[in-house]
Amino acid sequence: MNKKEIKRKTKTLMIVLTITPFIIWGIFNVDLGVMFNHKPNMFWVHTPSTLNVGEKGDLVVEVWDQFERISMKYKGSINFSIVSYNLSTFELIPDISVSYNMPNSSNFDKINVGVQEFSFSISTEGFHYILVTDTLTGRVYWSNPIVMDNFIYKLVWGDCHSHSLYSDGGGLPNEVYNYARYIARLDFASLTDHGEYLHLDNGYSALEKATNRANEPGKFVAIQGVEWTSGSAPHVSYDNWGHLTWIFSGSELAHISADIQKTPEDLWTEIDRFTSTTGSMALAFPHHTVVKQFIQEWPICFDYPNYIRLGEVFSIHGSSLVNPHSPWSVVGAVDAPSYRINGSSVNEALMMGLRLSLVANGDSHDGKLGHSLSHTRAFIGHQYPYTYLLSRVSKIYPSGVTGAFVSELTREGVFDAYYSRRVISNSDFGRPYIQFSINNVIVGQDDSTVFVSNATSNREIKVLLAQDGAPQSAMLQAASPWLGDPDWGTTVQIFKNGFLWREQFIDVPVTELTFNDNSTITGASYDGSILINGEYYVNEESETPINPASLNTNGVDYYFIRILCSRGRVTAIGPLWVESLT
Amino acid sequence: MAFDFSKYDISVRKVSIGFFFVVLASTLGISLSMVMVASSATWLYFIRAPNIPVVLIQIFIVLVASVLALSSSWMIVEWIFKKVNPFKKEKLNYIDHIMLSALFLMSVLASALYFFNIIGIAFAVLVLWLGKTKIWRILGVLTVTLNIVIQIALFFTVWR
Repeated sequence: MNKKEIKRKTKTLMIVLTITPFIIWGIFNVDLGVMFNHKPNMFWVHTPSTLNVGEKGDLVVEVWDQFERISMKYKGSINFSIVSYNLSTFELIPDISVSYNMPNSSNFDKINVGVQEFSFSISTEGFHYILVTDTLTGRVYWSNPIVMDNFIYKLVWGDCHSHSLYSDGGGLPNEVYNYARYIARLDFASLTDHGEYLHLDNGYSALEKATNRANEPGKFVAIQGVEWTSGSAPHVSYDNWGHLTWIFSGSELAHISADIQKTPEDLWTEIDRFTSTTGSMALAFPHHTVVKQFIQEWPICFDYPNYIRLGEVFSIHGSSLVNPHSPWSVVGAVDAPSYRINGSSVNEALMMGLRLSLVANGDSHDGKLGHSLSHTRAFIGHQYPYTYLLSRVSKIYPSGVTGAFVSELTREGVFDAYYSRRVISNSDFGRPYIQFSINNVIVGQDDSTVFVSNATSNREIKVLLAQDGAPQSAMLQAASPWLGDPDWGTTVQIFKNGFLWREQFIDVPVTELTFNDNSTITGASYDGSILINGEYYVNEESETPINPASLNTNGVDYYFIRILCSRGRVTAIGPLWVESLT
Repeated sequence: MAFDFSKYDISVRKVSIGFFFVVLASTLGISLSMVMVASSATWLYFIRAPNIPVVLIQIFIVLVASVLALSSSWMIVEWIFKKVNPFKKEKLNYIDHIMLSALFLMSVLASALYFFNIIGIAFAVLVLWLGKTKIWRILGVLTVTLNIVIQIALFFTVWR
């Protein structure tokens, strides 16, 4: 080869080496459909879950595209109507008997694009749904249920686990909180960035300030929060005790990080110190507990019932409610181990004797607190707000939300609901209404504990359910409109002592189910411990020796409810613990 | 005493160009240093240093990010204002080597990012085209290959 030929070939190689990486990058990072297809696909109709009779509420209608994003392209008009059910008989109330005040119709035009907000009030007790009819397609969209009664506690919805650009998520804190309040329509939220990044970037004070700025009691509650990320964050050791998201009731943010508190003992000491010096309460969410990389080390949580009272059972990682290899696993989880690892799920932790109530959060990493889009094709990197890390790519489930029965919409009110266990967990943006009671003791009452006179006393179990009429999201499945009326086909399951006890199919929006149990109260125990080098552990991933005889509920039965909807939405509430007085 | 501007050859055009230079250089510098901080934190996922105090890691990351961002933003702005096309330059002086080193390091660091790894690819391509010596050409090919390999590896590990 002469010099000219070598030069020509070198240039060709350089051109190939220049074009190829950009093409490969484009294939993985650019989705033209996501970029340019904003066609309206459905409406999301959102209302408060509970209102006192005659109280005014805000009705929000959002137009979504096929990726659950706000679509600005809808230019039609909408009509409103109402469907109501009796509070005690659950029968349909004729429209003429319902007294309400709301607009008849509205247009989406150049001014009202994508989102419209209306005021409404209903003066008739009952379960109500507001129906929005799209005059262009003729489709009818149902709201979440509005329970019109005279309540002590209001049901509000929030998401207390999310990440911004301050750690491995997307968006700046103020953007993320704005999205939570004005798009996801949450009542409360917490941005809980990984402490290890905050420590690296000196970000605690910036996050604390952003959260305090976003907090507006009565309208939107922003809660201080941070995640302790043992084992899998930069510049920490490989020791893995699981991830604990912390929220605090006050205006100060604790400096929690797995490189400051290197062991669980350090962590508990710091939380004790922080709560006693600031007067703030603290609660932790063990989460994605069944994911192979982050199997939760439950034994570290045994002695801290004031902090460990809640288990995150739904998030963008899937479900940690039951073991992914149990026969009742429906949802699954991201990176679930290929073989069964005992003692990883929240259900198994309950069998060990931990008293965890079921909550759901987002753990969103795409800057969309309260309504992550990473289960849709819009997980892609060119979606605003941007993310530096790959953290949104593998999150294939919708983000969950928690319903909390609060006395007032303040930090203290939300914390009281969480601490008292007055919570409902839901796997997507849905807001159903549920009451679960045993012998008239509802979830959250008396620390969710029911006392019966003896071990065979009858337990009357009631589940009151008003389903959300909105379309549903699930793993890799964006919400799409119902073809006709919503599919109300739903299975209500009751789990007792870790096992599926009863299930019943329903196909109505509002109902109450009653079951009776008079079998002997035995309690539950965890029998999955394994022996390694003369010591027992809850599973092969665990590093904390335990006494297997102590892993039980101390003779107390527990029940929780799981509700499986037709298109993948899952709701859970409970547990209620039942203790015999003799 | 008032400053005597008449001693200097100052014109509106020169001031405007200077202002534009400063704005462009600082925008580039700040953005690139943020990308570099994020890149360094990403690599720390793989290189664990649990016993090194965080403050030392912070100093290191900020220094690396600042130096790299400063060099590259300076270089990019210089090219915009230079009359000589750097792609046609035949010989490299020591400043060019410093610049190419910055580009090379930034390309390696940014290759681990999601979406913003396009910066890593762009810098790798610049090393390839601007490195006129054999060693820089080899390093250019290596960085381009590294960026492609990491992108494909990420696809097979976490993409769905």
